[in-house]
Amino acid sequence: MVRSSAFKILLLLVGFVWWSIAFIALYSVQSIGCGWGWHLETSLGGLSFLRVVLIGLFVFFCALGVLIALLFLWRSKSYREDPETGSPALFLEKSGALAAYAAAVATLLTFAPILYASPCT
Amino acid sequence: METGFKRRQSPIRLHKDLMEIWATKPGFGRLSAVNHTTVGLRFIITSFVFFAIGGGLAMLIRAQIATSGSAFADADTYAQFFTMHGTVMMFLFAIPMLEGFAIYMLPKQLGARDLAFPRLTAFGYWCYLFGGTIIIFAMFAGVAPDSGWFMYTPLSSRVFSPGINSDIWLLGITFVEISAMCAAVEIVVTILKMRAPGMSLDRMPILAWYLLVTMGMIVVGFPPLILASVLLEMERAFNLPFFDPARGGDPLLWQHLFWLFGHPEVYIIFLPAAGAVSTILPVFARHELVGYRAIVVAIIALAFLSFGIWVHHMYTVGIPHMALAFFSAASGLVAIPTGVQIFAWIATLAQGRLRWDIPMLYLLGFFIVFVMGGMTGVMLALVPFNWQAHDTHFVVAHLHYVLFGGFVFPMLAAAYYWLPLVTGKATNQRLGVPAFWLIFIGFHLTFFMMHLTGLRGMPRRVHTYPQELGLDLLNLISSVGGFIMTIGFALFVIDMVLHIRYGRPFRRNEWKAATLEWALPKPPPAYAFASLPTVEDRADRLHPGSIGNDLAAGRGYLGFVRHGWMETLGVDMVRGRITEVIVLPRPSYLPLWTALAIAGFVLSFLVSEYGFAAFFAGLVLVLFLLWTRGMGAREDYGAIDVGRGEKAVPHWETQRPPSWWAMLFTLTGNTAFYASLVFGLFFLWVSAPNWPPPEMIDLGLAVPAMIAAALAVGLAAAAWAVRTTRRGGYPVIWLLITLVGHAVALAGLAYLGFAIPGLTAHAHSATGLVIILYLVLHTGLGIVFAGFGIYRTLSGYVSARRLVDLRIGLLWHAYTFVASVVGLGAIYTVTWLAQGRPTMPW
Repeated sequence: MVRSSAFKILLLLVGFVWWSIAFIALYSVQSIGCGWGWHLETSLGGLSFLRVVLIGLFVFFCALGVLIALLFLWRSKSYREDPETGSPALFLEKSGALAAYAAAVATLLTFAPILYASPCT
Repeated sequence: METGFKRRQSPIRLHKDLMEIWATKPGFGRLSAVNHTTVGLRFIITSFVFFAIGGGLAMLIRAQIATSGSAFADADTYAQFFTMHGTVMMFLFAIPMLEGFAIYMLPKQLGARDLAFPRLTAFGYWCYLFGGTIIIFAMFAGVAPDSGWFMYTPLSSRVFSPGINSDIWLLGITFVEISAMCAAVEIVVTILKMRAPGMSLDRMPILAWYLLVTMGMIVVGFPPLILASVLLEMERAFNLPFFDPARGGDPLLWQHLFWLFGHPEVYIIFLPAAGAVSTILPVFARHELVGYRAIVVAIIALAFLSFGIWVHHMYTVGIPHMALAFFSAASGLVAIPTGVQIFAWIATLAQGRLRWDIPMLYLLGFFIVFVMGGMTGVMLALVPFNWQAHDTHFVVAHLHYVLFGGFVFPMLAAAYYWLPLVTGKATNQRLGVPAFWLIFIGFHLTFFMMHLTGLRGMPRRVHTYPQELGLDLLNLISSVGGFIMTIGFALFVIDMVLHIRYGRPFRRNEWKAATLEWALPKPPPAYAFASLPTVEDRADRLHPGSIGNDLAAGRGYLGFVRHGWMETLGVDMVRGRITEVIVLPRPSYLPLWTALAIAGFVLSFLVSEYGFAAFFAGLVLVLFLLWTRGMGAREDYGAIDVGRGEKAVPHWETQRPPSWWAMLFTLTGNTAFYASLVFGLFFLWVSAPNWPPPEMIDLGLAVPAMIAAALAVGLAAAAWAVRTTRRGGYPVIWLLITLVGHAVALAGLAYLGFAIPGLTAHAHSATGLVIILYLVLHTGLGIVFAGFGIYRTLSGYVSARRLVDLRIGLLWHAYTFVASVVGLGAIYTVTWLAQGRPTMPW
C-alpha cells in the first residue's frame, strides 16, 4: 500500500504535464511545418495545411485537457476519506483537481493564437 | 539483533551522547563536517560574501555610467564588470543562498536530524566554493568572463573571445551547478522521505512545499544550461561546431538552451523566498496562512508555466508570430498563480491582527518592490512593448525589481526572523530599521530611474552614452541611489555582527511561531532533535514550547543512541508513517577530496592539459567509489526499536530507501540533459543554415542493433539478478552478464564514434558524436555499476533483504538501454530527414 500511496503524488502533476506535452507538440509541429512549407499549401476551407494540422492538434489537446479536468470533477463527487491513505490522499485528489482545471484553462489560452496568428512570419 | 543502545537517559546525558556522534570535530576536523546546520550556514555566509563582491561590481558599474563620457573604465573592463556582476549575483549568490537556506532550515521544519545525504551536502558546498573561487580569482587576474552573464554565442565563441575568459565561465559555472543539482536531488528526497512521523503531505510546512517544487525545477531546469556549457566548451576546445552557422550550427541553439534554464531560474530564486514569506507573514499576522491548498496548486502551476516562457527573452530574434504568441500568452498567465499567492498573503493579513516588527518591515518592502516588478513583467510579456524595450535599461530595472523584491527583501526578513534561532540570542532591532529605509529608498532611486532611462532608449551593457541624450541627471540619481543602498547593507552587516557579538542569550520562541524549528534548542545542536516528534496537526499549528521539552527529554522517537549510528526516521511519502530507520554516514573528508579532484579537472581543462583532465576524471570516479565504503550492513537486522513502542527496519532493508529515490531523481535530471541534447539535434536540422551536411552519418544497421541487443540482455540479466537474490539465490553470474553486455555495447559505440565523418566540418556530425559520447559514458558507468554489484555481493552487503545496491544498478541499466535506443534512433531520424523533405502519404 505504501507503493500505491507514493504514486498518488503524481495526481498533482497530471493536468500540467498534459499542458507541457501540448506545448512541445504544438511548438514542434509549428516549427517543422514552417520548415517544410506546409503554410504555403492550401487545404480545407482555404486555410493553409499547417493551420489545419495545428487547429486539429489544438482541439485534441484542449478536448483531452477538459476531459482530464472532468475526470477529476467526476471523482470529486465520490471523495471519501480513504481509511488506508487518509486525509493526505484526499488533499492530493482535491489539489490535483484544482491543478487540472487550471491546466485546462491554460491550454486553451496559451495556444489560442493558433486560430489567428501568422504561423511562419 | 540489537545491541549497544542506551535508553532512559537524562536530557543532559542524551545530549552528550548525541553530540559525541553528531558534533563537528574541532581544528582540521571542521573540513570533514557534513552536518546540515554547519554546511547550511557555510553556504549562507559564503553566498553573502559573494553578494558583497557582486555589490562591489555593481558600484563600479554605477560609477562608470553615473555621467556621460566617463573615463573610469573602458569598454572591455566594463564588460567584465557587468558580466561578473550578473554571474556572481545569479550563480554565486542567489542560488547558493537559497540552497543554504533550504539545507539549514528543512530538517528543522520537517522534524528530521539531517538531510538524506549529508556527505553530498558537504560535497555540494566544496564544489560551490571552489567553482566560485576560480571565477573570482580570474577576475583579479584580469581574465574575468566578459561576454555577459548569458554568454551568448558567437560573442563567447573562440573567434570573438579568444582568451580563457569564456572558458572560466563555462567550466566554473558548471562546477557550481554540480552543487545545485546535488542539493536539489537531496532536498527532494529529504522532503518526501524524511519528515517527522505523522507529517503527511497535507500537514507539511508550506516552506517544504515551496522547496519541493523549487528543487524539482532545478532537477529539470539546470541540465539544459549544463549541456549548453558542455557544448560551447567543446566547440571552443576542440573546434566542434554547434553554434557556428557556417558549419550547420546556430547561435540560437545557445539562446534556447540558456533560457530554458534562465527563465525557470527566476522562479527558482523567487519560490523559496516566497516560501519564507508564507512562513513569516502568518506569524506576524497572528493568523494561520489562508489558502494553503490554493498556494500549493499555484506554485505547481507556476513551476510548469515558467518552463513555457523562455522565448520571451528572445522575442527579437525572428521567431514567427504564432510561436511568439504562445510564449506571450504563457508569460501573461504566469502572473495568475503569482497573484494567487499575493492575495493569499493579503487575506492572511486581513484575517489576522498585524504585529509590526522588523521582519514585517522587510516584508512590506518585498510587497511593494515585487508587485512593481511583476507589473513591468506583464508589460514585457507583451511582444510589441518588448520589442521597444528590449536590451534597454527598462529590462534592467524590471529584473532587479523582480529579483531584489522577490528574493533579497524576503531573505533579509528571513535573516531577522530566524536570527534568534540560529544564534540563540535575542534580536536588537535598532540598526535594522534605518538599514531597511536606506536599502528601500536607495533601491528605488537606483532602479526606478532605469525605467525612465530605458524608455528613453538607453541600451544596457554599453559603457557610455552621449551627453546629448539628456540622461545624465537620471543616471546620476541612479548611481547615488546605489551608494545609499550599499550603506544600508553595510548597516545590516554591522547589525548582524553586533547581534552575534553582543546579543542577549535567548532560549524562547521569540516570535511565538508555531512551526517545528522553534522546538529546537537555540542555537540548534548538530543532531537537531534529541528525539523525533510526532506531528498530529498541520505543521504551522504546533506548540513548539511543549514539544521541545518532550523531545529534549527523549520522549519522542529515537531518543537514544545505538551502535554509534547517526539515526533518523524515514516515512512513506504521502501519509508520513514510519517505514525505516535511516542510518546516515559519519563526517568524512571524502567530499572535500572529491571536490578538489573536480577542481583539478576544471583547472587542467582551462589550461588545455587534457591528459591531466582525464587523470582527474578517473580520480573523481575512484573517490566516489570510496564513498560507498562502510555503507549498508553485512547482516540482516530486521525490525529494530525506534522508541514509543514501535519498530522499523534499517533503510538498507527496504525496497526503496532514499538512495533509490535519489537515483530516480538524478536520472530525471539526466533525462532533461539528454532530451535537451536530442532537441538540439532536431533544432539544428529545422533551423540552422547550411543543412544538409556535406557528409552524412552512416551508422549502418548491424552495430546499432548489436548495441541495443547487448544492453537489453544486460538489463534483463540485472533484473534477473535482483529476482534471484530476492529468492535467496546468488546473483553474480547475472551481474557478470550485465557487465559483459555493457562492455560489448561500449565497444560498439566506440566503433560508431570513430566512424562519424567530418566532426569539425558540420554540426550534424558533432552533435551525433556528443550523443555517442553520452552513451559511451553511460555504458562505461554501467560496467562500474555491474562490477560494484558483484563486489558488494562478494563482500556480503547483498542479501534477499538487502537489495539496494542491485536495485540502484538496475535503474541505471534500464536508463542506459532506453537512452541508447533513443539516441541512435535520433541520429538515424535526423540523417534521414536531412536528406530532404520526406514524401507525405497525403
